[in-house]
Amino acid sequence: MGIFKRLFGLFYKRRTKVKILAVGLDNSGKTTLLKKLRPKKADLSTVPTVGYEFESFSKNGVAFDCVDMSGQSKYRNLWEHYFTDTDGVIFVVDATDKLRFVVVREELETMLSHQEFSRRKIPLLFFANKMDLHDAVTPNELLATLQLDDLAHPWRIFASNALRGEGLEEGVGWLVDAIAEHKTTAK
Amino acid sequence: MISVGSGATAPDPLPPLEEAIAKERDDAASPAAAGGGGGERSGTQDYQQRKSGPWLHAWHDPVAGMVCFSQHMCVADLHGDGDHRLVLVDRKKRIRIYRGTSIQWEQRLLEPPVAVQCFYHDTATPPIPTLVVAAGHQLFIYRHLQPYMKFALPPLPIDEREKDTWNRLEGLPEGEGVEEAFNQLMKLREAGVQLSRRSMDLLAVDDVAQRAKTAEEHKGVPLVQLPAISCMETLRQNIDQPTGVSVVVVAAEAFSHKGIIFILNPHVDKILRKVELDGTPAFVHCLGLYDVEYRLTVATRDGTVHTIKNGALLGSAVELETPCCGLVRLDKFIFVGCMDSVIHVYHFKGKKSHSIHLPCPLTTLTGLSLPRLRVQRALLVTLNDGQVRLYGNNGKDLLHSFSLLNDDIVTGALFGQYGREEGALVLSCKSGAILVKILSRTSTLEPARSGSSLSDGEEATGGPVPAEQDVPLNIPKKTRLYVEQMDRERQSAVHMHRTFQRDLCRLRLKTARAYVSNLVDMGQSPTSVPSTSGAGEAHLSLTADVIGLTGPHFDVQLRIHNAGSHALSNVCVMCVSSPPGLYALTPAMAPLPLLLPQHTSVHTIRAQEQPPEGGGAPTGAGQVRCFVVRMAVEGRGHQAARPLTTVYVQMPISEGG
Ligand SMILES: Nc1nc2c(ncn2[C@@H]2O[C@H](COP(=O)(O)OP(=O)(O)OP(=O)(O)O)[C@@H](O)[C@H]2O)c(=O)[nH]1
Ligand SMILES: [Mg+2]
Repeated sequence: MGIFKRLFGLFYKRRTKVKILAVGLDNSGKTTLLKKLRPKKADLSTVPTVGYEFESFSKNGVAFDCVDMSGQSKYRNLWEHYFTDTDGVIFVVDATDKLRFVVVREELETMLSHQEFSRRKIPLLFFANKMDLHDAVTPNELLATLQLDDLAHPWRIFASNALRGEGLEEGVGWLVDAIAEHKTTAK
Repeated sequence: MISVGSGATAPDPLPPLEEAIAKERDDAASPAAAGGGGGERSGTQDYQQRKSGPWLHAWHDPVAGMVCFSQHMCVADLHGDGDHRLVLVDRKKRIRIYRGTSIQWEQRLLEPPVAVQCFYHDTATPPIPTLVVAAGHQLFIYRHLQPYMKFALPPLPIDEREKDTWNRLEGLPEGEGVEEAFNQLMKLREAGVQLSRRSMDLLAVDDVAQRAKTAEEHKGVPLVQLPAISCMETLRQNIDQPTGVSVVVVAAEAFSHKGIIFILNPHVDKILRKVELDGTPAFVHCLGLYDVEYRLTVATRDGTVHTIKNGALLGSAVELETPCCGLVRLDKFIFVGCMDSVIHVYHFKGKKSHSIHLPCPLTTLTGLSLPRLRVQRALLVTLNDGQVRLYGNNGKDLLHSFSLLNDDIVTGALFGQYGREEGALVLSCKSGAILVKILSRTSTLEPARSGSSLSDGEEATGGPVPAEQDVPLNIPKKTRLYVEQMDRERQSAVHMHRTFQRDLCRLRLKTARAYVSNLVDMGQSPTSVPSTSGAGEAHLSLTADVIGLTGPHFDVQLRIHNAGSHALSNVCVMCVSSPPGLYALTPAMAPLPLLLPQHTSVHTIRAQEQPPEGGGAPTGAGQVRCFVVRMAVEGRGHQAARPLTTVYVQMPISEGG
């Protein structure tokens, strides 16, 4: 955790706010994950998000402004409205929902074909969520099925358990870091 | 913690414009590549392509081992957790539930199932559906994946006179009174009485002794006629919502060519309504609400489509030319797939709208209802050449088509919510494979553009609307000659008809004469062509091909051509292995059909190389000697031994040992 803290500290000096967009199919655990990230203990029971929700909190000296999108297919066309105003994307995948990996790939492609993504190198953080369940695939399998290798954006994939918070800090740490790096190189 | 990532120094993405062009190219290519209807079946990756037209390839299990018809499949939120399960039953008496890509539950059924359905029997929260499996005359109800109860359809009333006949037989010793009963039943049948299956069985036995035996078998068994369920659907009772309580509609075969529709209450323990109709129901479709207004569309096996409105059979029925093999309703239209590769489209009140012509027979017909897509309704048709087609605009536009591999055919198709995906298509194949496709959210489902290879091929084979339809026919003007000719035809129609009939008779007579003379000549041939000489029989030519590369099985294909001018009958082909015993030949001797002049008949003999005795090394290739011999005619047996023609077939060396 030491390095993590230091990186955060480094980042903190330059920038205090990051804007994050959480996307992923319905029931993948976006809302749960963001709730768990919050330093305050909160009730983790969720209902399917309607449209989108804002979530703001600060953690380790970084202020997060998150947009928690709904993953239901009828709301997925809302995602693109927030692309312009985001520093990084959290893409949550339910690692047990093998049937819909192809849909995940499809939505990822749709997202990456948006002009905002070809204009800027927005870092992408993938969570292979629900890793506590026995039929969850590993991040390595997931990255193979989703063909993440050919992504032109900085990306990383972590296994996570949103209910218990495992893997979240590391993932978000990397994301904050990648955003900082991206900003400095962009300048 | 496991983490994998990319360096931040990935190559630049394509500039937007180039990317857009590349994408467009891909898009344009995909429907064409997914064709398969036209000349060549393109691409082996076709049906497993990640994306093909509107379909995303979600999952494929080639060894699921269940062959289901559409009736054998349903999807339902069995646990009330939003994750819809797939329920499959098959003729091997299995019921299996899939969750996502894995089997969650499997059990044996007591009887081969006919259909499976899921519905809600009450309004609990969370709503847990009831699973019902129809088999024979019974319905097996499952709740929470536990067998819950069983409901048997009541036996059908049997005519008193028929009952009497069997009762009388009951008291008699074996073999007595059977004929009497037989005649009585025959009389009843002629009088139009609906007989039970048992009586029909007896009437079907021709042999008197066998009849007595059949009658004896039934002694001591009560005479009942049970309905046989042929299909099952559910109909919402009073709320048109996915979780609304439903009644069960069961269609059954009653007596031969009679059907009954039962409507059962949501708890499946009471019959709410019973409707009888002519013909065995093959497909039922329900529309509306049971308590408000409903309409059942019933297609029978003999090709009639009946409508039942609020429990009353309507007088008007659609008579199809060929039996029906699929029934779907989309919005106001009913689609009836027929055995002659045509889908007829009717307004649900019975008015014919149009027909869709398919290049080959269809196996399943499924309706897709997609409230969220631009094309809200589509028709999915699977063909028996492995194609899966999607039609839009009430079947007028072919939207997309892909093909299965390895001559696989779809036997059952289901569209609905599977897992958490609303637009999932589950296909069950003849090979036992299961295929799940997902309709892409962003697909526009536009008709395949003309100019792509797909629509070109289709239009020629009679696609939805052939282009020629709009081209006016080249009808010549009415000339005076034409008018005069017409007048003449009108005046002397009778005379013309007679002339035609007379000529036709003459033609027939001539044909018959030629035929007879041919037969007569053939009969004479043994005398006119002495079979001892053999020279006269040299008109027969015999050639042989060996099929098979490495053995030890070979097929010897004989082509026997009669080059003479007479037909030859009573000939047979004989084969001998040389050295003896090297090949087992089946059949070693076979009679040949009538060998017509200038006609080749093909005959295949199976040669199986036998391992040498004592287990030594194979002796190498031998010969199969084939003779065409005239079969012995009585009194001239000695002449028969002379072969008409002979061929020695050199066999290849068998590597199989
Ligand atoms: N076992 C397990 N369950 C999880 C995990 N993360 C989330 N869930 C459960 O998944 C379900 C869906 O979680 P949500 O956070 O509501 O999902 P969402 O992505 O926000 O869904 P939408 O708002 O509809 O897009 C909830 O029942 C969570 O309890 C996890 O890591 N492990
Ligand atoms: Mg949510």
